Amino acid sequence: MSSAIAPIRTAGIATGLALAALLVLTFRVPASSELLGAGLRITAMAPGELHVPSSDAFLKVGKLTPGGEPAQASLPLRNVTSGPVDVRVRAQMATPELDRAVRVELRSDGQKIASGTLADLRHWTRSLRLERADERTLRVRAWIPAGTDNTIGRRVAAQLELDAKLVKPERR
Amino acid sequence: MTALTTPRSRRLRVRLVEPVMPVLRVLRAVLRYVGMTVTGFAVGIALALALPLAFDARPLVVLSGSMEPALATGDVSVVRSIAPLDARPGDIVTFRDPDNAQRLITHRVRAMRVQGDAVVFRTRGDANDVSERWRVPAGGEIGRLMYRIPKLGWVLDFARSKGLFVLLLGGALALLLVIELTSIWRPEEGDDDQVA
Repeated sequence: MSSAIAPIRTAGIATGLALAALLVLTFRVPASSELLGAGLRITAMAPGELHVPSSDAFLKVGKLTPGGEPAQASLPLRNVTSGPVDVRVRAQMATPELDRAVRVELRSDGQKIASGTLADLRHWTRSLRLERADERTLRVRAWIPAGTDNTIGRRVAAQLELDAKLVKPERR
Repeated sequence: MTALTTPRSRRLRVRLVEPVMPVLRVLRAVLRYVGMTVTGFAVGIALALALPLAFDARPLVVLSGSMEPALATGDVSVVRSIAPLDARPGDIVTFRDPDNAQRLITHRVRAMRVQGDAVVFRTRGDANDVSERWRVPAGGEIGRLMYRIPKLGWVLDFARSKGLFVLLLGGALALLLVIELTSIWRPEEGDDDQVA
């Protein structure tokens, strides 16, 4: 008859172990599934010849991932001088954290002004002509190509420095 | 006299005990089942605390209510070592207090960023209204909460304060467990239940 006791004991132990496992599962804390990408914040600094709507960041993204969706933003520029101006752009970053990782493209009305890495944008771009009272939109697109390493959790604030040069009328 | 009374008293005893025997047997079985369930539960909890040690994790007793209701004072939190870059906002992590390296803090990650070779965290207890900022080398280690066992910390704390008592009690329980387990795998003859 001792064989009748063994199942009771085994069942008891099994129940106890199962209860302990259930307790652990109930109070399990799953790891966060929040995506952590690279952060990019771009502000614009315009000279007196140009009007830019706001001094706040016009591009603000916190989750750029390699091969992920590009971040896009527009910056309206208006020539407030009495003549045409040639506008060029360059970026200044406090840290080189994402200099080689992030690719940036600047366009205006279909015209490509710059395309390359953030590091390339540290140099002046080609000029964009704005006629008198002309308003054009600078479209900025930023992304991280697939397979780029060491970008997770990095943050960069870039300041887009705009330079406007009055175009002198040609003498005849 | 004796020769006449003995068989009669036996008959009487048998008649009195017979209806009670099944109830006693069931009661005994239930008690045995409950006892073994408690033992199994204790073993399971002990495993839940001891097994993580083999997987780079360890149990810690929660000493404050800064993370309530996610973690209450007296809970045991089991945290696993991870690389700082494996943490994500929303995770509950354990790290060394930036003001007192002897103390460990377990709070929720609000934000994190990489600066050079270091990861900078902003964490806050769910019940707190102030965040703390701290940094750790990207190649370093922090803990991430895997699971918690409510109120077990009180038991462990009691065990720590009543060292000898608990040692004896634990020893007795362990001995009981060994005996019970042995009887499962090697049933003895002449067990009480065999009377039936």
